[in-house]
Amino acid sequence: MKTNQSLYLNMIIRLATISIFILITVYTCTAQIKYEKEYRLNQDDVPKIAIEFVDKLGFKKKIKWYKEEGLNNTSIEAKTKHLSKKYSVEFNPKGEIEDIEVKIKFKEIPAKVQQNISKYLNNNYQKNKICKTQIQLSGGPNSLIDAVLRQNFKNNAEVVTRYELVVKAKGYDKYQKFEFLFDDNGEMLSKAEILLKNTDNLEY
Amino acid sequence: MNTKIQFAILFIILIFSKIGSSQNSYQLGILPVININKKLPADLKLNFKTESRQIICKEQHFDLKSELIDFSTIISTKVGLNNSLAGGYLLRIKNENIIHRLVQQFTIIHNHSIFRFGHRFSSDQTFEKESTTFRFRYRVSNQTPLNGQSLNSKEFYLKINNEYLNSFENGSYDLEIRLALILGYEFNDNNKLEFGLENRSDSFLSEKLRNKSWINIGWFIAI
Repeated sequence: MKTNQSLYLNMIIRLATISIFILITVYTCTAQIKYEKEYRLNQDDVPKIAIEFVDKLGFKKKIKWYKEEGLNNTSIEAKTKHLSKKYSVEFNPKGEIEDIEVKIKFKEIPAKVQQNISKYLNNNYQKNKICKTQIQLSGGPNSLIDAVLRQNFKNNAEVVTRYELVVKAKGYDKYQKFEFLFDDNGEMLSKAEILLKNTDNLEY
Repeated sequence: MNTKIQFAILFIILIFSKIGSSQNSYQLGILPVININKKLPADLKLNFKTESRQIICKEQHFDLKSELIDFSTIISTKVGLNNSLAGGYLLRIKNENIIHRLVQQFTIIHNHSIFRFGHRFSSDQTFEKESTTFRFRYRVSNQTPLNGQSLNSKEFYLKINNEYLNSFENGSYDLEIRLALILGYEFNDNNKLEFGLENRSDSFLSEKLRNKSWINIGWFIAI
């Protein structure tokens, strides 16, 4: 009995080792190909100028750094939670600030802007549901620091406020997911379809 | 490889060793699955699946044999951005017998900032010579990337499946519970390879609980 048990244990270990070896080999052989990805960054690998900028925003909680590599552009992002809101601070590869995004609830947007956004969505889609709302702040570094420290996200001469929405929508024949950018009046500035990830391995 | 991936591999090996050394009544086998999906117009999708069961040992004895092979086709339609309704047919070849099964399922996918959850509610009717079995199943799956906040090409992920199967046959009822821990690798969005261990326990309501463990090797391709 003992011999049988140790035999099949050996077999399991061999099978596991071979499978892991195959996975690692495939991973190593294909690692050189260029592709789009997002991954965690150590703070040591973040440009100093970006770290200094984030230090001035008064965040108390841990900052997680990410790098997003696309086919045409690369960006560095700092993510954290501050005063119960999720912040995402985006930089270019040199560490220069691009924008700050703060996750909010749709109902926190000024009523007039809400109405305009809802009107646009209802006029263009049979069905729609807002999945995510973010205020996007852009402007000079000092103005952005001031806006975050004062928690004043209103559009002004120095800080441009926009609203980025992720929306599930149904047009004429199919369901789609979009990322919209609206200005501070609720006028649509841009729209991009979000390509849905393949979920076959969770369905079957 | 980062620490999370090393930890996941170690965890799966530890589970393998633990099951191999501690079970008294135990069956182990390999469950290779090839899953091919084809998108069709108007939010329709076709799924072809072939799955075989190769037994390695039974009741502590080597018993290398091929138990069965399944071929199935399922067509699904989206009823929401993340919801789909599907129905299909499965052909099973077991000990030279042909078994037919009809399958109906409803799936919901929830995307969270890091995790992705899949809920599958399904029912099936299996037609054999002597009897017909009706099953009602629920499976929850969780997929977590092992690097970063979202799963990208050339990255590993961890998947956990937990399924409950209620079956009715000739007036008797049985419950089967399945739990799988899987390490996956995404070559690209349309090509994923999964490897892990699945434990299936049934006969909860009879005197002897049956445990079966399967080494799960799955390949998901979209064409």
